[in-house]
Amino acid sequence: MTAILEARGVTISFGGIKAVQDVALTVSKGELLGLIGPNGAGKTTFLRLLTGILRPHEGQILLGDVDVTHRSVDRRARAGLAVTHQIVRPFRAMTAVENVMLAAGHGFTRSPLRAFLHVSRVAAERRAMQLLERVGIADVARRLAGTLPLGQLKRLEVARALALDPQLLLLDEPLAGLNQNEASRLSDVITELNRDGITIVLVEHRLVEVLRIVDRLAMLDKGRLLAVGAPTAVMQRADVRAAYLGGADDAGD
Amino acid sequence: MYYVELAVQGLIYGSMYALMALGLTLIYGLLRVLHIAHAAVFTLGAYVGVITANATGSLWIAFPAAILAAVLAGIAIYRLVYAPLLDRPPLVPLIASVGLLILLEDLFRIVFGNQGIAFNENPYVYMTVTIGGLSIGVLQLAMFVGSVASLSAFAAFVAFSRTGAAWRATLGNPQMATSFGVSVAQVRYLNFAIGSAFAGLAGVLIALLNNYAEPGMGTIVSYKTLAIIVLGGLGSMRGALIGSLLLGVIESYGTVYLSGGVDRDAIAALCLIAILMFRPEGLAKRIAA
Amino acid sequence: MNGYLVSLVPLIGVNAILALGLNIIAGFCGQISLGQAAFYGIGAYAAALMALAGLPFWLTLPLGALTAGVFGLVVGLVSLRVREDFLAITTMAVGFLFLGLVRKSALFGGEVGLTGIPPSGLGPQGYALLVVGLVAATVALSIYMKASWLGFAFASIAEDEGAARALAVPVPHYKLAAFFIGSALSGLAGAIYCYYARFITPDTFSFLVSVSILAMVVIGGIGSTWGVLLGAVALTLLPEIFRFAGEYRQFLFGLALLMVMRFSPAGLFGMLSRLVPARLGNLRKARA
Repeated sequence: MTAILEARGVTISFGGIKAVQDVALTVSKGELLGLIGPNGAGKTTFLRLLTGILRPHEGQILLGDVDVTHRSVDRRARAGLAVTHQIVRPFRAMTAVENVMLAAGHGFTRSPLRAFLHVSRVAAERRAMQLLERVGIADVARRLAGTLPLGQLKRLEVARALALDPQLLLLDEPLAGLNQNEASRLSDVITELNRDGITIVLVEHRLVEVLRIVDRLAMLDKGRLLAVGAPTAVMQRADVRAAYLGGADDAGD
Repeated sequence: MYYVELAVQGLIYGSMYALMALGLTLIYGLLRVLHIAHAAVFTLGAYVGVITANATGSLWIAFPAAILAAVLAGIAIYRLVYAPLLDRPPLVPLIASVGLLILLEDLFRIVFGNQGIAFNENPYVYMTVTIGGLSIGVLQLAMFVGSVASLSAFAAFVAFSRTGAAWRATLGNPQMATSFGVSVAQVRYLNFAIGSAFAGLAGVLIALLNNYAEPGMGTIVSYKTLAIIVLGGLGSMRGALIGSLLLGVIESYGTVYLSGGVDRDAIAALCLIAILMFRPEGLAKRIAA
Repeated sequence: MNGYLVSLVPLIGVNAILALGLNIIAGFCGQISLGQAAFYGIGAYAAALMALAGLPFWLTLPLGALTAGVFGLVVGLVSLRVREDFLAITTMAVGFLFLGLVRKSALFGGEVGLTGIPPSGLGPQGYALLVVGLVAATVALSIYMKASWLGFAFASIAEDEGAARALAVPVPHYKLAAFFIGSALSGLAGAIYCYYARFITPDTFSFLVSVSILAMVVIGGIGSTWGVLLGAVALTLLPEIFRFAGEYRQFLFGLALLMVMRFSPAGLFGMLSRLVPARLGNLRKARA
């Protein structure tokens, strides 16, 4: 198994409090890894460290063989690390398909000069339509993203991330705010994507859905990696159960 | 002695900047609006002060009149311009504010003329007092004392009164207001009232110092105090106060030592750009109230 | 064309290019600038100094633009550190800094400015034609840019910088590009103005001028090339048509800015296209 993403002793603190402490985690090619933890466990912070919104005070982050610890968000995205946001961030004034096209044109947007010299959006549009179909919202492709309901926006986030042709997809609570029906349909999409060969890290609060689809489970608590392994094994551990019962809540951190 | 004198001059101007910067900070802290038109409120204070003093012959009437006019203008500006625009992108109220400043400044010019208006009598202009060997203009001293007194009174109000506590809590978290039995809207009006009162006071003080009020007197002050609150870390009162005094002193020395290169009014820009390059969040980290 | 109209054309052209330049920074890329008059001034002073040094007209024009563009790049670097409100004030400060430096500098003629700038050699008619050509080129550039991937990426940055970065758009490079292009256009306008007026003073590049440029963009409809062009032409002509308004020019600018922001932030063009949705609306969509 090849490691696609590796965090080595990653630590960050805010105002003296260590939000993420000495976390070491390896994501292997092709797997679907679930990342869970109670509120305030540091999941979102850890994710931000992975994507580059935050830089760790200690430790390294490797994408493939490359140390990306000091690379910006966009350079990591370009290197194959795509992310969806917990709170959806569509470009509301653009149509759904335009949202995806922008990402699909990542070859053109590499530099302003390159972008200036290219006009045709045909290829990007074709690719974007394919992806919208793949996540099941091709029918609203021409609608302004600002007018779409949350369930469709969550899918749009996934399609946009896929358009980057990522090596690794980080999904930050893609199911939050969805009803049961929408949630299980989106988790089916996630499973399919993984089956098609995309490596996925799924940060999610809804344990039932997570346990249903992931290969491996990692659990964060109080900024530390408490457990990692097969989902059932992790969930049977006493410390994992204690951490969850201690801080069980529904909202994200 | 010369250095001390420059520092004192700087602190005097700095105290006036502080009066203006505090109002801007209050308004920014609560509404996230860069109230550029604050300068017009300042100019209004100056005009009303001069006119009232000339009409009544009494500065004791002129000050309250100017402050009252400024407060009313501030509240009207909030009610008519900002309140309907709060849910728009920040660019919209910002540009509206620029428009308002330009409009009001020109209105002063149209109504009162290009040259502005002067005090009929202002016996204090050339009076000086000597403190510890330093000769200071009475009006400059008045500006410093007036600023420090009103800012201290305000600080005491915030620190010790119940309304002050409610207000402070609301700045940090607008939803808190209801638990103190006041509405967010009331706190916003209060902020505009207090901020504008300071601007009105600063206006009269500057008018007295210059002996006249003129239409464009606010523009430079506006840009400088905006630079100060950005310097101080937007929304931080402590940062704004420190920034004001610091800029006053730097300008005071800069006017002497940099006069060959830049003019006085560009010093604030230099400070701003230099500091932002090193500390994009300004001098002070943002402190809620 | 009679002499009066011919004399107005370069003035309209200068304002149109200024407004279109700011529109690239503020409208396309979403970065506010309250100091655009500084780049206008840099272009004018650079062209004037080169002209006085004997450089030919066809060289000073592009070099003036380039100089302003390079300074725009520097301010763009500041824009990478600060956002929105901070940026508005920083750019405003840049404007005052420019004035402060020019006023005190003997090289730039201090308060008196620079005089005795040689004529372009094209004559009034020829010069007006050249300016019209340059405006047309700027409009074409704007329209092309908006249709290109550059415009597409700009639009994403204007709406949500963070999301754009997550989609692999190198946001800092784009902001620098916007500031470079927008400021270079302002510089071009400055160079055009310099040969038009044949003398320049610091007052021509005051804060009020920055605000006027912003007014043209905002009143025309921020982000819309035709709207901004319309705004520039209208705001230049209005005081000329209504002579009485000359006295109240500034007042009207302020009022217009305030009213448009208060009642129709999409600008007059935006308002028009809502009132006449069938035709203009489709036109706008076709362009977008």
